[in-house]
Amino acid sequence: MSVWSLILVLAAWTNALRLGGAFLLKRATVPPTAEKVLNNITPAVLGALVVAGMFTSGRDLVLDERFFGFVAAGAALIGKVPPLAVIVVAAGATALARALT
Amino acid sequence: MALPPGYLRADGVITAFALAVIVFGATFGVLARAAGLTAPEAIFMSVLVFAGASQFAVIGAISAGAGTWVALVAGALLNLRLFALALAVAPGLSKNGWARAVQSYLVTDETAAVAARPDGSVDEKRFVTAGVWVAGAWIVGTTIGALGGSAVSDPLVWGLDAAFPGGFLALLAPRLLKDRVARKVALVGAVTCLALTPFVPLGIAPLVAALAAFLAVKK
Repeated sequence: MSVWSLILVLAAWTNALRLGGAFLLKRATVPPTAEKVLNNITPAVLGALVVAGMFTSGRDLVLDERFFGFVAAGAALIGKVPPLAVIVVAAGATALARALT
Repeated sequence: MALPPGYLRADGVITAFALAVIVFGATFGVLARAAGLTAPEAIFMSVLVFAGASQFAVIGAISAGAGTWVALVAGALLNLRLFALALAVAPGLSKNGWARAVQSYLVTDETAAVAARPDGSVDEKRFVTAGVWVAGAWIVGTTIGALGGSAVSDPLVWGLDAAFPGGFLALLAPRLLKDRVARKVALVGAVTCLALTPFVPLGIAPLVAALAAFLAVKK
């Protein structure tokens, strides 16, 4: 398979997933239980992505400089700083830890 | 309308994501060229696929000497979670079919995170705003990296890999504070992801973690 075919197939697949999710329940009237599930997909996936982004590298579980970013972000949240500051603190603490090690 | 009025007005979080995405886009552009892709291939991949993790996986597989089929499967698996995220943001997308189809292209981790309101509903305008900025940043970044080459700095030096999970945590926090069920769901999703990651192909763990949402129906 050529690189262009790869790009086109991956693009078709990726956007089909997006379209599928966007249209699957558009016409249906969703019962309240299903609505509860839909409402909680984002916390479920974001919870997973937070730990995946902080504590994994490929398929390995790792504890590296990002741990300091995670702790600093947690501390910033407890200090009730706005989300932008949490992002800056997470990146800054990770960068600082990398610079020092 | 696919584009609600005032959709270009980015707030701090969207700006931060967009800046980090530009740097990662540039890195992708450089690595794609190093893996043997031409500049148009790298740039069109970012335009058409617009899913960073899967694109990195594809060029990672190619530069490791894997065939294009292996690279395709690696990239395809990583995007399965976008189906779950598209389902999640769907109630907030345009009721008009064409506009909804266009908007669905903007479904990414970042846009789903930004669009999530603390009460669990979806903010269409913020979704589109984040989508336009993040997509623009990804494409511009890729172009810079693919054409500009080695002048690009390493995003890890700036800790930008921690910027995304840090941002997701910050955007999730207001809901977790007031919603006991979402708190349980997010925790189970996180634990599931970590527990599965070493044992399943890349991309599967966050997808299985999405099933934690079913905990919301139990008492």
